[in-house]
Amino acid sequence: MIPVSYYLFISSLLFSISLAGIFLNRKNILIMLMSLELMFLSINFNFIIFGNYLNDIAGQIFVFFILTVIAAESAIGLAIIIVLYRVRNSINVDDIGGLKG
Amino acid sequence: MSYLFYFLPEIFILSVLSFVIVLDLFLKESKKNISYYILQISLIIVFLYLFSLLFQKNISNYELYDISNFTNLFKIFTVLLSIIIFYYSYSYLQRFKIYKSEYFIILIFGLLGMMIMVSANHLLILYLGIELLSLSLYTIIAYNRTSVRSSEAAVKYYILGAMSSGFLLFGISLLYGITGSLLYDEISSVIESMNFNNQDFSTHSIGLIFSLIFILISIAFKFGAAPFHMWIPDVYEGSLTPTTLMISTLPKVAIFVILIKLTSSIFASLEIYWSEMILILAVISVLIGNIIAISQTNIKRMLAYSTIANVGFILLGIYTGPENGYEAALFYTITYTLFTAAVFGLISEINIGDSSLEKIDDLGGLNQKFPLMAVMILIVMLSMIGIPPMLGFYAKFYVIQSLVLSGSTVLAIFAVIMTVIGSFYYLRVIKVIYFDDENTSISPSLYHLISYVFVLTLFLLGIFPNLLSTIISFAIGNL
Repeated sequence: MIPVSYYLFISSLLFSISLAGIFLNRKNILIMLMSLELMFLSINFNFIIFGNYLNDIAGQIFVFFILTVIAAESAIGLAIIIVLYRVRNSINVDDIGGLKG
Repeated sequence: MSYLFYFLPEIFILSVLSFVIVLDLFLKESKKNISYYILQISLIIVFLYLFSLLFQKNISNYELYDISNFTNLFKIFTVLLSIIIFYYSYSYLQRFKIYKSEYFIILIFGLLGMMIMVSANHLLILYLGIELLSLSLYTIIAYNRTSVRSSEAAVKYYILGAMSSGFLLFGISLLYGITGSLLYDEISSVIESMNFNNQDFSTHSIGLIFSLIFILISIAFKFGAAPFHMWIPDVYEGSLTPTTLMISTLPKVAIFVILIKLTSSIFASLEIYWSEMILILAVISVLIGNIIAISQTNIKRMLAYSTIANVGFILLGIYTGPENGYEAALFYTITYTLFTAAVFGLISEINIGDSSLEKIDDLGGLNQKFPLMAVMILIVMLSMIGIPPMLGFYAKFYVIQSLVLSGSTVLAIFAVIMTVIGSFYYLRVIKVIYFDDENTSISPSLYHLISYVFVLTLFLLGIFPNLLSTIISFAIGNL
C-alpha cells in the first residue's frame, strides 16, 4: 500500500507546475489556459485520493462538479480570447498592456 | 418535496431566466426590451416574497442550505440593489444604443450565484455559487466587445479569477482530507475537537493552516484586498459604467458575508491565525488604496483604488473579532456599497459629448450648468470622506471605535491618518465641479430623477443612522 503522502506530493507538484506556468509564461494566453486546466486536474487528483482514503463518496462527487464547471469556464475563456483576437489581432501576453496606471 | 421550500426564490429566478432566454429568441429587434421588463418585475416579486419570509416564525433549518434571517436580509438587500442597478444599466444601454437582453440575463445569473453562495452550508454549494457569480462576471466585463480595453480587462480578470478559484478548491480539498466532511458544522466541530494550540505543530494543524491560507487568499482576491488587488483598477476602467456599478457593489457584500460565515463557523477555533492574516491584508489595502488613488486622473480608476482602501477598512473591522467588529464591518460594507452604487449611478448618467464620463477633469464647472447634479455628487463625496452628518462618518466611526475597544489604539490612529489622506482625492472631485472652468460638452441624461431620490434617501439615512444600525444588529444577531 502506497502512503497517501506520496499521492499528495504529486498533486502539490502538479499544482506548483501550473502556478509556475501561469506566472512565468510570457508568450501565449493559450498556454495559461492549459496551466489553469492542469491546476484543476491536480485538485481533482487531491479530491479523489482523499475520497478513497476516507472511504467517503463526497470527494468523488465533488470531482464531477469540478469537471463540469471547468468545462464551462474554459468555454468562456476561449470565447473571451476570440473577442480579444478580433479587436487586437494578437493573443500574445506582451501585447496586453492597454490598461495602466 | 418539502425541501424545495428552501430554494423557492432561487428556483423562481431560474425558471424566469429560462423562460426569458427562450422568449427573447422570438422577439423582434424593436421589442427586445420586453425581456428587461419581465426580469425587473420578477425581481420585484422575489423581493416581496423574501420580505414576507422575514415575518414568518418557526422556519426549521436545513443542514445544507441556510435561510436564516441573516442570509434573508442579505438577499433582500441584493435584490433591492439589483433593481436599482437594472434601472441604471437599462437607461445607459438605451442611451448608447448597445442594448441586448443578454446583459440582464447574465446579471441575474450573477445574482443567483450570490444568493446560492451566501446560503450555502456545504463547501460544494459554496463553490458552485462562487463559480456561477464569476462566470457571469467574466462574460459581462467582455460585453463591450468592440472595445480593446473591455476585452483586455476580461482576459486579465478571467486568468486571475480562474486561478483564485483554483486556490479556493485546493484549500477545500485539504480541509476535506483533514476533517473528512464538507459541511460547515461538522468541519468546525472536528477542528474544535482537535483543540490544538500555538505549540502543537502536528501534520493536521499544518494542513489546516495551509488550507486556511489558500481559502483566505482566494477570498481576498475576490474581495480585492491589497496584495491581490491588481485586477480591480483594470476591470473598473475597462468595463461599461453600469457593469462597474454592479462589480463594485453586490459581489463585495456577498464575499463579505462568506468571509464572516467562514470565520465564525469553520475557522472559529483558528482565530489566532486568521486574525493576523486579515490584519496584514487590511493594513496593506488601506495604505496602497489611499496612496495610489491620489495620482489617478480617470474617475473610474480613482474609485477603484478607493474601493481597495474601503475593503481594507472592512477587513480592519473583521480583524477586531466577532463581538463588536462584525457589526461595525457589516455597517461599513452596507454604507460603502450604497454610496458606491450612488456615485457610479451618477457617473453613468453624465455624458461627455457622445461618450460616457472617464476623466475627472471633464467634470469641470458642472455646478454652473447643472447645480442639482453637482449637489448630489457633493453629498456622495462628502459621505465617502466621512464628514459628520453623512452615513459614511458613522461607518468609519464604528470601525475605529471597535478598534479602540479591542485595544489596538495604534491601528485606530493609523486608520484616522489614512482617512485624512484619502479625503484628498474625493475633495479634488468637488474642487473640479465647483471651482474649475466650465466644460461645454457635458450633458446629463434625462433619466436622472431616480438617482436624486436614491441619493436623498441615503442622505436621510445619514441623519437617522440608528435605523440602519438596528437592522444590522438584528442581522448579526441571527448569524
